[in-house]
Amino acid sequence: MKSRKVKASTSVPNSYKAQLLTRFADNDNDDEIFGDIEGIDFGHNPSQLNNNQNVLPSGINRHDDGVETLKMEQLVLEDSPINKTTPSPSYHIGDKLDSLKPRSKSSTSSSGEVAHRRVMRECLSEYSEDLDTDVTSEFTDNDFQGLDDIFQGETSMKQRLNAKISEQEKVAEREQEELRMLYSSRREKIIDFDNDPNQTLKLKDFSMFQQDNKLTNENLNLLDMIESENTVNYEYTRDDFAKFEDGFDVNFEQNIQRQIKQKPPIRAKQSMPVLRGNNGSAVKKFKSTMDFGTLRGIREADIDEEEEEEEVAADLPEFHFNNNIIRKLDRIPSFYNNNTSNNNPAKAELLNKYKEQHEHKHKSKIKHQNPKPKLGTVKYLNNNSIITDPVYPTPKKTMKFNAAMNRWEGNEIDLVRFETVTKPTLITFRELQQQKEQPKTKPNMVYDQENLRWVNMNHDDESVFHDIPDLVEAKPYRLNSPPGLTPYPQQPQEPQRISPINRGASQFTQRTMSSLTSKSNLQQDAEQWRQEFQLSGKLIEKFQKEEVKIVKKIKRWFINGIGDYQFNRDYYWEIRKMVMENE
Amino acid sequence: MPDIEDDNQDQNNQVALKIGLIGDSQIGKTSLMVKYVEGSFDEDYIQTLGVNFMDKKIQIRNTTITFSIWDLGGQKEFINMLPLVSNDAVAILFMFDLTRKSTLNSIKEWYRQARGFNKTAIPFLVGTKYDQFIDLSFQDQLEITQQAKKFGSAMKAPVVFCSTSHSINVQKIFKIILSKAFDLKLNLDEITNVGEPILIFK
Repeated sequence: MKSRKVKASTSVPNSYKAQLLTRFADNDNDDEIFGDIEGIDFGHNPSQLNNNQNVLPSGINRHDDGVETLKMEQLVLEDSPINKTTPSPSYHIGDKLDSLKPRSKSSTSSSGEVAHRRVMRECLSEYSEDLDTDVTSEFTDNDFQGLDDIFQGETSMKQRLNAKISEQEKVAEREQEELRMLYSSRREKIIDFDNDPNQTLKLKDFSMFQQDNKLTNENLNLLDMIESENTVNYEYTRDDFAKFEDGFDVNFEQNIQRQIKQKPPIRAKQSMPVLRGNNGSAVKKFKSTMDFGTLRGIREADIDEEEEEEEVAADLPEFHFNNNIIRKLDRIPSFYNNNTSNNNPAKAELLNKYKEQHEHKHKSKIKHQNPKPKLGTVKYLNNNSIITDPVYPTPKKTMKFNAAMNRWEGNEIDLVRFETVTKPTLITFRELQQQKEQPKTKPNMVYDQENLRWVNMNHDDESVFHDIPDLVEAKPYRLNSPPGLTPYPQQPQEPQRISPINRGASQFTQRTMSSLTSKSNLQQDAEQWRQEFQLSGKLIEKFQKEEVKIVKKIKRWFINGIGDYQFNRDYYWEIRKMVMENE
Repeated sequence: MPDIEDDNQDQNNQVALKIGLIGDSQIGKTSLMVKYVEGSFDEDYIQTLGVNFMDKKIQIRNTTITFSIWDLGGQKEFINMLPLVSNDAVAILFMFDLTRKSTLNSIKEWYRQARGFNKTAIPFLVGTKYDQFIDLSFQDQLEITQQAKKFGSAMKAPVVFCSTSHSINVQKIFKIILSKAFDLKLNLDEITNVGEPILIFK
């Protein structure tokens, strides 16, 4: 969005218009390039929603910086491979405690300085958690601060979690209210909101109507009472309270009757493996150690028996809730098909009572018991009726499933959060006018088109850097003009000659310098050079001779002659080329 | 409310945290879950037909914390199972593929729907496939990062860029969850620079 805006403003020929646009962009709330995340409190301060409106305009100048930074970064990052050096923290593999620390290096350096480093594929490993995600890894105490408060204090983790959840609830309520206010205020501001094509978010917010009706606290309380534990069904995931016949065919009762009449019922053979739960009516499961008396033979044959089980057997007929035993018994297919023990109706009744409870435990146990129990999947299988119209009563019954659209409808108010984030901001003419009319109290920046910079007309920032000297940058090496070809006395070459780079001058430059000193009227410079390089008179003489030779040689190379030429440095290349070719 | 294991062990030392993973298809929800729980990563894509769930137990001092991770198939047809994943979750990870901007755009809708069911869950914005993200042009990286940060602040959610295949910021997501759920201070520094694996949670 940003880059688009920048381009747009630059491409407009009318500078006034561009200026206006830029000025408007300065005040744009959600339009920041860098650092927009800084200062944002990720804590649960609900008042932030409102604050956003107030806080952001103060960051007005950031916009300009942002544009500049963007450009620079693009240049640096994309053009220069040199800058693609490793950004990253050093990493100590193997030590879990240390593995957390490199991040500090990375971000302390990063938060303060420029952000333009590019992470390359080769450096990825430096961010890697490596052993950290090992299955066996556990969180260490050192990861967290405040653990002592929990473990020494009276509140347990669970209590703390519950406290957090109720806190979240409150926060959510407050946020909801704020979003609603935000929406309604926006709605009020815009004339003919309902028909405004720019307003993509239109909420069916009944609370607004309620507000119109001036709902009193009393009425709200009444509403709360209506929507209570009793009226709302939270238990949609459990089927404890569901009627048994739910989900069966309409005539399932008749079918059952018919099946009962058919004799004999299908029974699994002793040798067959039992498919758990497939044929509940035929297969008997014994969940209790009550039966151990009759099954002692089987149990004693079991090699894997543990002492624990022996004790269990000895303690008959007490109930034991030991999962190990049940698991073991489950492995014996024939065990379930022994009907002989089920003669006593009182006992059976007891067992059934027990079985129901155990059925639960058993189910949950299967999950853990599986050698690869990790991944479980919940699917809707062969039950299209559920897919097309699932009825999930939710705590507040706010969400409704739209089968045609394949989505849940409701809670549109939460979209208000994203309104400012994702919608391109339209600049209406009215807003533009408002901008224009606003008194220029705060920033008074004027763009200096000649020097391509912004000037603060308030002059309140000029002394900020006055006592900080500029850094001296080493100047790059530049060729001087060749001897005899420097007829311009005013040519300001002096500072360059002082530059340290020239100290290690080649023979050519030395020659140039000496010839210059002999010719030019810049005596001071000549003095300097003499001080720095103690040239013998003989050497200078030699240079002069060489110079004469060279002048003699090249004076006819240039059409205009040497005296009144406009020297073009390209000649150097021409000469070089010529020399190379001749060789 | 977190469902608490009804084992006959000391109940006070057992806490279960349900965590929902939500987002468009093929962004790496299941991969992240499997990586965190089993420590393994498989390049192959296996579509989630419904809802996957896995448990991971961790031990802090004398308390066992069970992360019960629920991962919803990203295809539209499974969105009817959204309440299964989001209800009772302590944290919901809203996930997107860092290399596909459209998946970030979808976050809005995912957020609206999931939050419709559960307003107490701590939201997270998690960008996946960071290892591929770094191959994008800087301009793209910048745009995506900025947008993610904006989304994060709109949702009041921590923002994490992670790479399951390279084990970047995977474990940290769950550490942050823990720190948020129990209001603990986490000894971890943020990473906020464009191009780096973002870690914003404070």
